[in-house]
Amino acid sequence: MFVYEKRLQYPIKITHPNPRLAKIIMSQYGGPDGELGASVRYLSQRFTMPYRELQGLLTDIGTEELGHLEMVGTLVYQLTRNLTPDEIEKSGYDAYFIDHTAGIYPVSAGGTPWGADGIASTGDTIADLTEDLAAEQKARKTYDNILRLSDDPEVNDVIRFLREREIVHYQRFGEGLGLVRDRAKQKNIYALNPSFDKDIPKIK
Amino acid sequence: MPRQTTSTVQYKPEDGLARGTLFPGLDLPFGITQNPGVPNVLAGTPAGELYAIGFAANELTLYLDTHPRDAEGFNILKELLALQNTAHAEYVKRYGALKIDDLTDFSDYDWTQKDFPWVLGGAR
Repeated sequence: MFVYEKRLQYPIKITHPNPRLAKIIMSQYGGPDGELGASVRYLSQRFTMPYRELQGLLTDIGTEELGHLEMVGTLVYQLTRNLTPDEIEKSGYDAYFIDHTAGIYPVSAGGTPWGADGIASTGDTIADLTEDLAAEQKARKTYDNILRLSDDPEVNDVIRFLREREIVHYQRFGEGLGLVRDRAKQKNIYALNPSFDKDIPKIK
Repeated sequence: MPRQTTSTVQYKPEDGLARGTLFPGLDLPFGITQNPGVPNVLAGTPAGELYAIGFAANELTLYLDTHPRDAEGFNILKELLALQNTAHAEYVKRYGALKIDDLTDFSDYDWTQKDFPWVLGGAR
């Protein structure tokens, strides 16, 4: 089960609303490489992970990603508060505003709603962990691009924190994959899928 | 990729929080800008203490998930968890309940009396 702790992982206080920035940061809420996908990916993959270390890692990183989802939602919420219709139109936030007003909705910066097609849960230990490595790099890339486009120091302070977490998670998933390789006990790590096979499968 | 070989080379928790990692070897910022030592609004408050210690404990948890036999790392985690309990209690006394469990110390239903953390100024 999950229990809510009533604080953010990293404090956020954005002085100046900025709907242009909100529109691009939104992609880390509901975009293809965003935090919603990250948490659902890890919290789904963990069920069939073969080793308790990996079950723990996916549970703990997946839980941290839920905290990041809350942080990104907070950024968008604070960046879009007290807007006038004029500001909404001029900033390009109007297309989002028409359907969602100032509500928080999981969607990419390009307007595609969140979907599970952006994540994989394959039931194959090596495929899943390799997906996770790529996912962390893709999220890091999005934060890099936000830093390229944002000139608000209060926003960038938070984005730099979130970006660095992707690098740490990438390291941990790499170590998790190493742990699977160590336990394969054979030269061919693909000989069986430890999420599914109890023994080397016989082909009919 | 190479495994991290030690948990003992660490930033102080408040610097770790600011940088997004406790471990200097994983501290790889974009461009040349790093976050200053203590996050903006929280410097020197019980809230800042809880954020920093809580962050350090979480960071070490992920490390221990892939290094479960690092006894030294586990000792550091236990020290952090003890500090976190203190910081948690201080925070609750000053700013309000963090978890429903904290309500045992309150005379009224504090949970909805104080701001939620996404509200501007709610992140104390």
